[in-house]
Amino acid sequence: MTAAAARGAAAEARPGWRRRLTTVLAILGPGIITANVDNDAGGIATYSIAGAHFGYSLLWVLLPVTLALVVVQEMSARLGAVTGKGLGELIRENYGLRATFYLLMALLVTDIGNTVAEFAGWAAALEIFHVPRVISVPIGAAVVWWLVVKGSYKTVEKVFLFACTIYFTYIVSAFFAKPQWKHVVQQTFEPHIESSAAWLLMIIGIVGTTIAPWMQFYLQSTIVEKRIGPEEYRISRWDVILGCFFAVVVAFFIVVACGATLFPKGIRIQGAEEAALALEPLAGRWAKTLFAVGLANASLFAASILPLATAYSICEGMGFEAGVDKSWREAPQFLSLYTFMIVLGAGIILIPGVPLIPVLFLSQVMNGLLLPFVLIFMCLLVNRAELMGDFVNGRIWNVIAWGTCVVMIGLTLVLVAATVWPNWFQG
Amino acid sequence: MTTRRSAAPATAPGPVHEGFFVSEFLGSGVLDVSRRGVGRITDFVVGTGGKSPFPRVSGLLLRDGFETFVLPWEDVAIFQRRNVRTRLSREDLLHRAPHQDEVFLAQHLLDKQIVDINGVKVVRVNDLKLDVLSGDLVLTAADVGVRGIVRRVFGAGVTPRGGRFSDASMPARLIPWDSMQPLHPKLSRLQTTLPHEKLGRLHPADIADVISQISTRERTAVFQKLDVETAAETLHELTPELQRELIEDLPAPQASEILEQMPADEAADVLGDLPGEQARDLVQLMEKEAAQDVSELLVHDEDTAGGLMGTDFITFPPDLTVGESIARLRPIAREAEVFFYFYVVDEAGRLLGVVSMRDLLAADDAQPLADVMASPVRGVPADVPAGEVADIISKYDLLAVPVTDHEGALIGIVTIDDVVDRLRPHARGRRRRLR
Repeated sequence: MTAAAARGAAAEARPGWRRRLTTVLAILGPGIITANVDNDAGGIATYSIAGAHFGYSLLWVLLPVTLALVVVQEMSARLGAVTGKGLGELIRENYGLRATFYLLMALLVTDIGNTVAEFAGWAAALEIFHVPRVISVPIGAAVVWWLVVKGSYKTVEKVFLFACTIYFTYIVSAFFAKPQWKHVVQQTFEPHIESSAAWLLMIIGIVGTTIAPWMQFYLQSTIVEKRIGPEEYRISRWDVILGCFFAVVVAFFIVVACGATLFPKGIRIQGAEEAALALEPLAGRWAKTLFAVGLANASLFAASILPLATAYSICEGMGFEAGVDKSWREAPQFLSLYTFMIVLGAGIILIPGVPLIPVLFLSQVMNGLLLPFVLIFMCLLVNRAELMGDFVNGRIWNVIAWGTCVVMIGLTLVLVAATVWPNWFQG
Repeated sequence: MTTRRSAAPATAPGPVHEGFFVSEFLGSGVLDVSRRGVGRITDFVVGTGGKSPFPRVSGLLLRDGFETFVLPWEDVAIFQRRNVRTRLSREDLLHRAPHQDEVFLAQHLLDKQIVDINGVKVVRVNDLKLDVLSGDLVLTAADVGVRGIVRRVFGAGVTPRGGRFSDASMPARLIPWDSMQPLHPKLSRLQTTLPHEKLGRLHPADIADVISQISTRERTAVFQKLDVETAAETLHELTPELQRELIEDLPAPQASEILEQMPADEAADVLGDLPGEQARDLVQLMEKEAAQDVSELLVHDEDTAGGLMGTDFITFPPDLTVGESIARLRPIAREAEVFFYFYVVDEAGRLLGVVSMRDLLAADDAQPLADVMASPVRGVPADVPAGEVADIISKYDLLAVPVTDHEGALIGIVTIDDVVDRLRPHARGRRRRLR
């Protein structure tokens, strides 16, 4: 078989390192992108408030949150790689239409909140440049809608991603602020618990913004979309873990920067102006500009992903046609959901007198409240042997994932109690 | 439908029987002969044998506490919404455990994806419609519309048939059994008088569309059931990643059989994307002649004329007459892939000229081809970039360009199809994607 031998040689000549590198590059991305969108307007606001109002005392929370984030994100990616299906689809196929419907409705409400938050971030950023929100918000909404439905989002995504390097300024600024590092390290490793409704809200907000429910849907969908299978998953998993660490490192330094600059002066964050002060040690009088550019970028980046991922997940779960390349006739539910979210999200910000920063923060608390429910489904699914085969959760993973569910449900119940009987928590 | 036959249960009263939906019965209680509850319906068991065109429900799966058992359809006395009774007693039933490999409607079909053969779309099953046909309860259609969703989520009461919710406001989208293709591998065991494999009725390009929309496991299962010829044509329509995935998932003998069926250039495209060792093994399993053709093509870089070209072309010697050549063409007309240009070559295979089908028909039968052919013909070398080949085809309005080796011998042809496929690969637009 000389012919076969010749062809064998040719086949070896064809792929080689170049293709292997392309494979790696093609797989990289979902984790990193998800992590960066994770530090969206709501994230920046929540971490800033955490640092400004509580100093370094909440830093320790970031350690367990990192652990939970890595575990949860890894589970999403694994579910996608092994089953080749999105999270909405999997829940539908295994737990029926009714459960799927109510979960997705909750996701819709929460994500409308998140979309509102993104436009709040955008409005707040542009108010620093003296652009009133009646002008900035409609323009932002139109740009996002057009970019995703008609434009070449993929190219713009790279710009967004590159602009995310602005987050590094927080790291530098944190150092310039000369915090007492001994104090910082100590607070990072020393759990500290308060019993006030404000503290509880803060904790739920931090978890909710870091491990947002929509991220699990989004990450799993991109893994499926990129056709990452069980083999490529070994590489993909590092992308996911790396992304998680990046997200948390940024969060950590936002808290430190705010804790070093705002907390000692007792400044409460009411608007973007105060939050921008955290960058002053680095940027001086340019702090506001720097902060505004970073926030505007984060807001638009997330605003172009969040409503899209939500509409997609809902349609996938309910069995409606989805995809931005489809026409209104082909995918009416998908396109109207997507448009509805953007219009409503932007519309709420235009109501006169809506306070931007509290809106940002509360949307993240909503994330925290929904998270355990999404997580319960993920834990159940990822442990089904008929679905996952050898890729079911290990014991440590299960302990962390279920532990996160239990803690979040516990915190939610305590928060409800604290809201209903506020006197209990005054002590 | 109120006739009470010896073994058939009484069904819904009323002049017009409109059928049932699975969701209306899931969870409803069943009473035994002395009106004691025996359990709740959790699923419908489907019989695998059957002489009816539709899958027949052979029993109801009941659950009582932790106990699960099957109530055979023959022992159902009354089957109405919120009123299901058996003629047996509770004690008779408890030992009838379901088989491991039985097919269940709710577990294997409800909420899963099916292919709507008429609409060429992958859709999700919101509900299943059952009808009574000569005493048998059979599956007749899948509800994939919004009405099915509402019924499932809010209960049957919200959409009373002919009630407040009119058909116009909430259209029921029913896909009849004979034009739906279930994807769950277990469903393929259902035998009805209608053939199970309905996907094969579609055009290969449409099958490729469908296949690129479903998840990995189901994709392989569906693809495996296509006949070799359809599989070969479908494979060609898929994206390179999907081609690779499918071929890697198939057992090697089956994969090589499909590759053998493909034109050599298309097979080479698929093989070129596989890991070297695997491609070599597959070629070795192929029939000798096909293997040789493919191997020759594989030495070329895929973005050159050699990588694009096919080896299925027809050559004649220059002294053959027009009449003789038409006589030779007739028997192979049905099989040949490319049938608009014929090439005239000398004994060494060197390209002398080209004759089109039109030239042949227009010419006198006695004329030798040498007089009819267009000559000289410029063949492109195998290492010419694909883009340049496309330019030549476009500039001279050709249907195909011959490819020659360094001695001028004809080694293949690039057709306009090959070029179009390269420029605009199919099945791209419909892959599952966020954007």
